[in-house]
This record gives sequence, structure tokens and C-alpha cells, in this order.
Amino acid sequence: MKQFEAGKYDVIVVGAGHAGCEAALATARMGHKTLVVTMSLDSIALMPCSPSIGGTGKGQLLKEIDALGGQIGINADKTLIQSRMLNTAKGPAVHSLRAQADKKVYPKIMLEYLEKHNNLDIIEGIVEDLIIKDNKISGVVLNNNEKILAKSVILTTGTYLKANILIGEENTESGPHGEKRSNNLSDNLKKLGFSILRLKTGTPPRIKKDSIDFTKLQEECGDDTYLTFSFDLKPSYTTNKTKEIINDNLSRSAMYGGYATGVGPRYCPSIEDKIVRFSDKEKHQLFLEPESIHYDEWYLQGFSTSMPRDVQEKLVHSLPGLENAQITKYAYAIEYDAINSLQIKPTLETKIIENLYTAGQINGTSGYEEAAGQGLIAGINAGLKLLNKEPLILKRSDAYIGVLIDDLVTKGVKDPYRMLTSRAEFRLLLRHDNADLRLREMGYRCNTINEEQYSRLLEKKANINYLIEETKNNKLLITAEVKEIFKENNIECPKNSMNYYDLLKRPEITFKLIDQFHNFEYDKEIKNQVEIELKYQGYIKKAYKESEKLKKLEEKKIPYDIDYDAVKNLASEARQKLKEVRPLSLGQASRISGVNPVDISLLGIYLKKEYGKND
Amino acid sequence: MIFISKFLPYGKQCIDQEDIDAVADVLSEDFITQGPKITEFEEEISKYVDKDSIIKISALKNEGIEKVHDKIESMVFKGDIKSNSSVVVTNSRHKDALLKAYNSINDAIVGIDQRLPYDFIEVDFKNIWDYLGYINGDTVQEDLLDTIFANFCIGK
Repeated sequence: MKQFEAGKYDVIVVGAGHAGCEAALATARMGHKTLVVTMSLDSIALMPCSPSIGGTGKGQLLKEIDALGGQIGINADKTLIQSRMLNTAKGPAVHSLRAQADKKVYPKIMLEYLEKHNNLDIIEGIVEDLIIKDNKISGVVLNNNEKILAKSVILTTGTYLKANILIGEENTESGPHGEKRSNNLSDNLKKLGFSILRLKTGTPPRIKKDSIDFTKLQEECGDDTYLTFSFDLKPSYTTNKTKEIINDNLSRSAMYGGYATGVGPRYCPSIEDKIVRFSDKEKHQLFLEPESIHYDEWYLQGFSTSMPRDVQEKLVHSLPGLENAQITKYAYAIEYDAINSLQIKPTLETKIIENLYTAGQINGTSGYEEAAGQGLIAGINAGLKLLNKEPLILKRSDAYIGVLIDDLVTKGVKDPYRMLTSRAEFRLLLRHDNADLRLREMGYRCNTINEEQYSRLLEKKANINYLIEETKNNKLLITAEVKEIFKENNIECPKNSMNYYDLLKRPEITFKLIDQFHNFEYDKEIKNQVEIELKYQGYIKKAYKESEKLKKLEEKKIPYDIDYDAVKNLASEARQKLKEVRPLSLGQASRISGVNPVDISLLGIYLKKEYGKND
Repeated sequence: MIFISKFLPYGKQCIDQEDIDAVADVLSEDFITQGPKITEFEEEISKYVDKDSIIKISALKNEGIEKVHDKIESMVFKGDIKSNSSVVVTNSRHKDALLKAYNSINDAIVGIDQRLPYDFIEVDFKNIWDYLGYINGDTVQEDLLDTIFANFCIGK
């Protein structure tokens, strides 16, 4: 079959979801001629599932992506319906921002931005094969046989590889929401030696706003941990009737009926999963939220299912407030191919084919933010490699993005990976308030952060230090007036005068209070940072010390061509795993499951003997 | 047998001609082990020590060892063995790790009393876990290799 050569680019990004958009913008910003190939211009940066962006763990990812010059945060801000800060009572380490974006507007704004961007072309098409020469990528082949050449290719195919939509016994070859799917790309990847997994995820039904009885929802309020959510989030819950219907029809669900083969996300179970796994629970919490101000469909969060349509009708009608609800889009489960993430390097380049990168759900993750974070890193690294520069590899103590990628390439994935704050050991250091202080400089060195943004960062850092100095150099004298103010605020007044630096270390004392005594002329953001730094100094120092230990192990590099068979006395499981993952450092090696501290010591001794000094 | 003086000097050797003669006698006879001198020794010892506490074993022939097990077991159950409060640690790295773990435990208690958010207290808990892991091998010690190379010869 004749292949038509349609053009030549520096980078081709396959798929324009959240990962694809970040990757393409990163390489374009770095000055590389970039092409985005998408199935449909209408499905760029789609939000096929939840209309919310951020949340626990994900909010931190968002801030980090923004700090590194990514687009998702900027786009979200432009299209917000509501936003809230979560977990404010639980301390700054787990504060995360959650927002509802407008589902119709979000993709539109992103598309407009992409179309106007320099170095960036977009075409519609489906990539079905890759062009390889000497184990190096040299281009892609579309479904119409057009051949497009490139020096680097980034695959961000999301859930479109051999996708199947499952509703009850129905099984349709299709991408999300009735779109096309890729038929051959994953088979071609298999031929190249990639090991492919089958994963699944699901989405809940959409309900017509007018058919919801809101009076019933407002009365029965959820538990108060959700009071910090937007008031537009209406709580509901399952009933015994819901339980009954599910149990009666379990064999008709795609999952339980055995029609599905993919592994679903543990942290985003379907409603039938919840009923079966937590069978003694009386009620399961659900939420209804609007998808867009432009149309009247509401999203029923917590109710994803692969039951047949008639059962879905019964289920929805068993919920309070939804007795007469009209389903505008039925829920479904979607199965898709993903690659085994152990085949990817920490730079997100594949181990098998040079200059081929993968990012997003194709690596086995779930969620927009997780995808965007990978897309950004893949784009940055593809771009850096083309410039013959060192790649950007974020450590677990640098960013949640670092935790995410390290987990993927070191531990692998069995079910779709969702970011949780509990996955990060250094939560106190990876706060969402200090993402820019941690990462902006790195973004600047990669050219994804411009001069103006960088100089603002330097100014911010300087101001933080000036303010800290000022608090050290100024004392609060305890006068009768001062005592009175403390009393009014119900805070214990210090007995002796002390400088503001020490004063701020006390948990109850904030700038809001001491502004009444001394005028510190700094922005709220600066004051907030200083407060956090002073109050949690002790713990932040401890966490920092821990991260230094980690760094030491990360610095002990393992040569890529090491022969693990020559390392004596390794546990056989350890040896097998080390060969599979090929970690870059002793640190990464220590995190591989099946590799024990003894194995690390043996490896360390071997490295020292074979490769001389490696400290 | 000569009556044993109350103190046996440790630093100075006190073997005299009588001892040498006794050893020489045995060497020139038929038995080196399990001979009549053993029985004589046991009888003498039993004048000073309770007969039940004497167990005859041969490590070479693997005889009598189970009697030692049984004796220790019965001593434990009878309450004859008192645990003293001193803790024995076999090397200085372990001691260091235990002290650090102990300090972290105290820090954690302070944090809990102050009702700090879990993420802070978790830092202390992780430290406790890691320090204990240095002792039982569950934690990778980043400086262990340096210690090993400093204290042991790995060889070429």
C-alpha cells in the first residue's frame, strides 16, 4: 500500500487529551516544530468523566504542572464554575484545590489556545502504526496511509487503544462517548515488543437537570466533611432499594457478568463494586453536579456502572430526588489497551524504541491531572533530548509528579493509578502552596517558564527572606493595650516581649493578629508562606532531612548496561525484577517490590568493586 | 585434689606442677575423653553444686544436649530465671538506632498531645519505623555501604 508522505516535524504528539495538550505545548514552547494528531478537533482536552479538576492529591499535581509552565491550570481558571479548597482543617500538607470546570467551555478554550500557538499544527487523523529505523522512531502512519516523519513521537492515546464500550451485555468497539477508536496501534506496539495490559474504567449516567427534585436533595444533607465543597454539589445516597436492584441484576453487569476482561480502578469503583464489596454499608454517598452552564446535564458522581440501560433506569429512580429523573446519557464501562509502565524510563521515553515517549492513561494512570503531569514531563524531555540536554527527572521529594512517574516506572501498575496524598512520603515538603518555589526554577531551565515569570519567582523568594528577617528584627512589647487585643482574640498573651519570629512559631498566632501591632508591608501570599515556614519549621526540617537521605541513594547511579547475573547472592526475585525495571540508581532499585535492603547492599558492594568509586 | 583458694588470679597464671602432673597422667593413659577423670570431676563438683544442675553432655557425639534444653525450660517455668532490667544490644549502630527511635517516639507523643495534623506526626512515625528497620534489616541504610567499607575489608 502506498504511503503518502505528508510532512516532517520535530515532534508528533498522538492524541490531544490532557496529556497530549501539555506535551505539545511544552515542545512547541521549547521551539520545536510540533504536530498534534487527534481523532477529532471536537474532542481536544475533553473531560469525558468528572467535570471536576483537582481534589486530594490531584490539586497538588495541578499546582506543580502550573509551576512548570503547563497549561491545564490556566485553562481551568478560565472555565471555572466553582472552586473550593479542601481539607483546610487537616493542615497545609493536604490542602488541595478542587474546582468544577465547564465541560463545554474547557475544550473550546484549550483548542483556541492551541490553534493560536506558534510551532504547533493540528490535524485530524488516527495513528495506526509507527515508523521505526534501527530501534529509533522516525515517524507515524495514519489510518489513511499518510506517513508523517518526526524525530520524536509522544503517544498520549488515553483510553482509545482498542477501546470497547460495555453496557450490560452490549459490547461496542468505540472510544468514549461514541467516538472512534484506534484499531491497530496497540497490536503494532505489541509487535515491537511492548507488553500490553487491558484496563477498564467507567463513567456514571448524566441526568437532565429539570428532572431532578432538588427539594429532596437539600433536606438530606451529607456528612459534614463535605461542607467545604461547593454548594452546587448536591449530596444524595443509595437506598436499600438500590442495593436490591443491583444484587438482583448483578449477572447483567458487564463486570460481574463476565463480559469485561480489563482491570478497573480500585479507587474509583462502580456502584455495583461498592454494593458488593461493602455489602454491610447502609448507604453510599453520591453527588450531583452541573457539567456546564451551557446545557442542563448534571453528573451523578459515585454512580459509575456497566449495568444494562433498563437496570440503570431502575437504579437511578431508586435514589432520593431522582425518582422521576431522566437519563440523558447512560453510564458505561470502557476497556482499553495500555502499556506496561515498567517498559518506560523515568524520563517517560520507552526503553525499547528511542525517542518514543508515552504519557497519560496509556501508561496505566487515571485522571486528567495525572495525564497532564506526564504529558508535560514527556514533552519537556522529548524537547530536551532534541537539544542534546540532560532530561528532567523529578524526585519523590521534588514533586507529586515525581512520585507519580517513579511509582509507574519502578513499581508498575495493576489497576488504573490514581494520585493520592498518601502515596507521597514527603507530603510536608510537597505542599500545594510551595509548588512554584520548588519547581519554577526547573521550568525556567527547560524554557517552559519565561523571563518574566522567573523574575517574579526570584522576587517572591527574596521577599520571603526579607519578611523573615523583618520578623526577627522586630519585637512586640507587651503593653496593656497589647494584652487587651490578645484577650479579645482569645489567644494567650506572651508574658515577656519577644520578636515576631518567635511569636509566629506559636500555632494560634497569624499575621492577621500581629498586623495590628506592626505593619509588615508584604503580600498575603508572602505572609502565608512565612507563617507556614515558621510554624512547621521543626517538622519541615525533619522531612527535609529524610529527603536528603533519599537523595543520597538516588545519587548512587547504576550503569545502564549492568549485568545482574554477575551480582552474586541476589535473591532470585530481586534479580528478575532488577532486570525488568533496570533502575537508574540504588534509590530507585530499593523501591522495586521484591528487592530487599540486603539486595541493595550486595548491589552497592558490586558496584563499588566493578565500577570503582561511585560516591 | 588441692583445695581451691578463694580467688583465682586472672592476670597471672597459677598453674603449678601438681596440675601439670595431673594432665600428664591422663595423657599417658587410655582415655582422653569420657574417661574416669570425668566421673571423678563430676563427683567433686557435685560437692559444691546441686546435683540436679549437673548435666553431662558431649558436643562431639551430640549427646545430652536435649537435657540442657529441658533443664532451661523447667527453670523458666519454675521461675528460677529472673529477667533483669538491663537490655543487651550487640553493636553500637543498633544502640544508636534505638536511641533515635526512642527520641522519635517522644516527639510523636508531643505532637499527638498538641493535636497536630496527622501529616506532622507521621514524620515522626516514619522515623521510628526506619530506625527500627536499621536493626532488623527492613530499612536500606544509605550510609551502610560507607560504614561497611570503612570497617571491613571487602577484598579485590
